[in-house]
Amino acid sequence: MRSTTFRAIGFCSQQELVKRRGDIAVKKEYDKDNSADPESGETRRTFFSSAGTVCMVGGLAAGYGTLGYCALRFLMPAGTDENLDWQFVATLESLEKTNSYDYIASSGIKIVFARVAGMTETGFLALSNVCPHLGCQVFWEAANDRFFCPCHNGVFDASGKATAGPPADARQSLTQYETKLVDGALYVKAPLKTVTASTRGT
Amino acid sequence: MGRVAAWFHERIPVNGRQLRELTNEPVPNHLKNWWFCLGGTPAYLFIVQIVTGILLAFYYQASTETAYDSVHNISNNLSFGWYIRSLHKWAATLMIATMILHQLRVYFTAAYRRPREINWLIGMCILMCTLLTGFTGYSLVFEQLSFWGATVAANISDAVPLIGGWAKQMLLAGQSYNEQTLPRLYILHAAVLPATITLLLVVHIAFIRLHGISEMATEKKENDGSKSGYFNFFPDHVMSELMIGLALMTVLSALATIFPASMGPRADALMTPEIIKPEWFFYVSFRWLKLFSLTFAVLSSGLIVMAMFLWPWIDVALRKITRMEDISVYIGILATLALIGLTTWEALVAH
Repeated sequence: MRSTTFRAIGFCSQQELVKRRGDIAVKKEYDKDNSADPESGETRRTFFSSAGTVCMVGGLAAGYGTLGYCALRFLMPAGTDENLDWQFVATLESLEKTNSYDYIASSGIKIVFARVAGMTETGFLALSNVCPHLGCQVFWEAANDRFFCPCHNGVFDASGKATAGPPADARQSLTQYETKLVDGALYVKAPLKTVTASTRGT
Repeated sequence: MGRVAAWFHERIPVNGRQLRELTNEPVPNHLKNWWFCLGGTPAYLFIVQIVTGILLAFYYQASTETAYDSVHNISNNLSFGWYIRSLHKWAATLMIATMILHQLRVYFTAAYRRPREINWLIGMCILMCTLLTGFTGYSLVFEQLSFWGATVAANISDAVPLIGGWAKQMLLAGQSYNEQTLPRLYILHAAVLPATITLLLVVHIAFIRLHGISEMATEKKENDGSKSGYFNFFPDHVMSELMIGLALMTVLSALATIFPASMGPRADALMTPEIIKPEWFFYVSFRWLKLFSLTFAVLSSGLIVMAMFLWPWIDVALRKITRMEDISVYIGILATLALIGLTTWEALVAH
């Protein structure tokens, strides 16, 4: 016949709970009274007790700390170095009839090309459309001959230099990219597609 | 009946007397005025947010491809979708508004003073978490405001010294808005922040119970006489809260019906709208950012928030230095006027 020793006892009265608490208190009192004997190695016992506590706290801190570190590393996206490289923009033929040209770089940022001189290598000004203040897109106001950022009223002149608003206070300008002409085509040295968390490990 | 009661009592060994003692906090008479119940109001609206939020989560899809269409589907195709979403939006607005009113009440009645300083800190944490929940909430619609709001907020955190760059990357899951950003904002909005607010609320209420509700100085005098200056939490105060809850549901329903939550144009990473503004509760910081350089705006905002957190101790120091008992009232009036002034300014102009 199987023993019922390991069966839980279902009923526990309030009186039983009070008795259990009392038992614990009596046991604690007994331990306290019997630990005061120097002959029984009180120093050694205290030391092992403290060492045990330190190990326990240290172990828990190390364990949960490691988990916390793993969680933070898990949430932290992969590095996003901005690699600049030459990208084809347009043929000179297609740019002949226009003074400005919007180009979307492979990273997704918009670059505005303005013709400031003839069809030469230095004749084009390539400016990022991203406001250096807080990352909104600026737009060209032809009537005022300026770029304007609608988020916090940043103003930039045609060369990209900040003339008013918070970017001017911080002496920021629109980022300018290098251009070159090769075999009748215009190229810009702009950021390549940025690396995001989704591409980690690929 | 007795056997049923005995059956339950055996399994849930709590008696009525203990339960009454646990719930029956003596409430000072001034809480009969509704404006002293403003702490319970955002708590009630938080429950509305949890319920409507769970309902919306059944249909919302947190990806840049589908988020905007799923919100459009909720608003236009699903039965009562417009109502649930509008309730969620208006309850958020009212929750922040009533929380600010609650904080003003606590501030101007100096209820944050010793020994309640820690509960003021917890209240400030709840306010910060609620503002973050509001921000992540309107980021989820993936309309133009959602996209540019998240971009601007991430770049603001980038300007914070030392941890700014890290905070930006943690928020956006990269250097700029990408396909991992929206799920991150969603988890913050629907799991991390509500769980944090719930825990903070429990501690906030526990502290109120431990200290007892603060009395007005005028009541203290009255209570020394024979007349009792208190009434029962249950059922008297609970009834007041229920009435406020009923009135709130009526107001919420009216707002949701008359001004249903709308949707702006879909997010476009290549074009910031010519006129763009955050939700009204960020008008102050938005105007602040227009007035000053980024570094100054971020550092000064940080200092102001820090001062708000540490106000119970700053108040003590100021009173000692100036020997003016009501110095915090004058500073509070100036700060409130500045808050209203900057918010109105931002609301009235296009840029």
